[in-house]
Amino acid sequence: MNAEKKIRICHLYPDVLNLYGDRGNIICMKKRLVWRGIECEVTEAGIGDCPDLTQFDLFFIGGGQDFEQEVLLEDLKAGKGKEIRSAVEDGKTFLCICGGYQMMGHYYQTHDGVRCEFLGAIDLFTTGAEKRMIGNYAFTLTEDLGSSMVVGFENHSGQTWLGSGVSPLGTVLQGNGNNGVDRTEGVHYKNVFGTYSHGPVLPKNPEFCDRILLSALERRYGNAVLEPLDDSFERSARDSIQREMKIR
Amino acid sequence: MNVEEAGNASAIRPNIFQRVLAVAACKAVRKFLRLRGSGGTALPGKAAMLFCRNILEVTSSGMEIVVVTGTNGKTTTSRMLEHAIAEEGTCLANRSGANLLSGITAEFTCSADWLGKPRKQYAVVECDEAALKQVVPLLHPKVIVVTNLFRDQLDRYGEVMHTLEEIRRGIEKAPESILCLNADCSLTASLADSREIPGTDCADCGRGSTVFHAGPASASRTSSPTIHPVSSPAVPPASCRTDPAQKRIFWFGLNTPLGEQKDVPLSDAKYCIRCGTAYQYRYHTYAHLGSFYCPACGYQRPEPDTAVLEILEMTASDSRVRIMAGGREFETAVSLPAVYNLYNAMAAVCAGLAFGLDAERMCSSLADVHSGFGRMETFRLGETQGQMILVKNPAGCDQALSFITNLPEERDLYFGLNDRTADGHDISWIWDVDFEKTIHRPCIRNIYVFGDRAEDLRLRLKYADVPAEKITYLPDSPSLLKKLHESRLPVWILPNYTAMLSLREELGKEDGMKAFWE
Repeated sequence: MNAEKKIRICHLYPDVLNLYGDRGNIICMKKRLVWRGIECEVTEAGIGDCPDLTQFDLFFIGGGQDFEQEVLLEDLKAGKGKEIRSAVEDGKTFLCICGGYQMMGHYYQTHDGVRCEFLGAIDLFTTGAEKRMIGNYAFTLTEDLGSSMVVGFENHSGQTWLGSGVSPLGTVLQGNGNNGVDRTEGVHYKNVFGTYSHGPVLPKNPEFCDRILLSALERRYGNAVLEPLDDSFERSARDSIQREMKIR
Repeated sequence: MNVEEAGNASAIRPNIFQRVLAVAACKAVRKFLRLRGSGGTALPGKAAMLFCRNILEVTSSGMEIVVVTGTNGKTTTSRMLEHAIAEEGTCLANRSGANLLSGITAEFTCSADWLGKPRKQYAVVECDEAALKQVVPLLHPKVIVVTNLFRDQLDRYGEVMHTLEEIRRGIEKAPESILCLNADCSLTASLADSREIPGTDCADCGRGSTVFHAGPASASRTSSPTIHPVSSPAVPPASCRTDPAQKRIFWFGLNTPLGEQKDVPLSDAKYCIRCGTAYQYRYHTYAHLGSFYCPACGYQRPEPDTAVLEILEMTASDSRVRIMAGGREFETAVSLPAVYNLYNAMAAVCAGLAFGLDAERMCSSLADVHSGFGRMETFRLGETQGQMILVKNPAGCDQALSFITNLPEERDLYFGLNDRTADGHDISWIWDVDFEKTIHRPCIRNIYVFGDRAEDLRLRLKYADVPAEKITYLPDSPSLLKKLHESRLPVWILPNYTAMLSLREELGKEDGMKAFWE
């Protein structure tokens, strides 16, 4: 059924956005495609690399250090930024984590008022808070995305605020999510999935991973089915952290 | 008391009553805890600080002290140093890994007499990176060693640049201390700028104002990385090295490449800390360590004073190396295996020299040093034996795995992962470990996972293509001990911190292994 299907993943800025085990998301997406007989090719596009972004089906952007994000903004201005914006509008699939998620928005304003212009690919912005939001957390995906529960680890001081035209990825069950105020977590815009969840987020949340893969497959091949895998290890890892958080 | 003094504990001179009360409280609480079978190290220190906030300054006064900090290798480097310094006189050390202000305070205060006067001449203190700024103003160390910087416990320290900043703040609070820095680590080496004195221009002796000046990381958080002028290449003029008494910074490193000379996929320091250009390497040792240089601004690996020149032999239990130290060359054994212990050995020798010890004696003491607590510790398991290596971040775990999987003998491997406060609640680092590269080597027979987050480890291994039947999940400590005792093959155990503590305690009950506070 999946014969000769292939997904091309572009890992954007693995050289600077690579904190908190985020590359586990790449490993996870790749394995879950390959286990179903779908070919998967991962291309890394770091600072200074200029591959043709239109050839890719799925983009991954991780979280990084503030220091290194400075280097990165220069590179975005030099050209990749424009290509990323058109890929978003073109319905390409994106998974953006933490710093990478913030970067898709309009800007980041630090606690003391310094404003850093970001991509503006999605109608959202981030403001620096005094207190860091750190810890295990959980949220439920929106109905559109299947309502399953996602567990992860958040570690951010930025508070993200969504514009009126975009919907969140889910609703916070425990922890802070986007800003610790409005109980929203992440963003879902066209085929862009943005979240604060490290962990990495995908391995313990296989339904979420499959939902992302499906969106890329559907865009490339019109229709697609992902047959179920044995997710018992995945579920038991999620259950253990759920027990620790006392969610039930 | 004015505001200034209130913010600076060391400015207050405690009276004799405060001192006596603090010492008594510390000793009493420790005694009480010990009687109840607990090795608590923080509480006695907190009790002492209740009566006298800067008791540590009193109970360490007049001692000559080395403080060791950095991400990996603190404990082992401290053990090596303590081993050498103990030959010179009485030496205190915080052996049990109590490396925050309260634990260090407890160690010194319990060792002092009832008036708070120290009973020992020397001390080797392992210090947490973030606690350095609280500890050094009280200890006034003669030498501060920074072993290296890697991503570690990101939820606690934040990003690696933040940890670097914490260390920098600590170092700035001890301007009189001599620094021993890892020349191969571009992050650690950037700390040299905290020893600059304006108006002079020699970086090697610490009186330089330009050469090593990296932009402070805090400034780069909101603006572009600060670029500072470079007036000369980072190799200092030879004249400065002829006067060791003047030296404020000592450097250690490995003058020899190791492993595949490829760029590491996951570097903690890919871009120049000063100007943001990608580093280039004359050679790599491991992770981001090696002979780095920035092609744009000229920031580069300083020439080390203490270095491994050549690795002559490396086995499962030790290595033989040729070392340069104090301007001379020595051939010696290092009685702990694996490459990262060569770095620890160089850090120890370098610190010993800065401390005023003889280079030859320092080098020869490496041949019979024993591992610290949980670091390459060996214990008996019925018919066979077990060895334990503490792993708590990707760089350390990769090094341990690469060492183990290069040994010829077949072994069983146990991984332990907890997520308690002392470990860091964020365990995502297991996904940054390059299991894919090492775990499939034939010498690894069975893999067992234990600890609070064992299921996460099992999942990580599944995605590294380890077949499910090869991994056994051990849900609790009885099942772990049972499996360990049944093993036929030698066993390697790779636990993180609290997983190591609990396992060690269990094994100690049977084995007569000393409790960790002994």
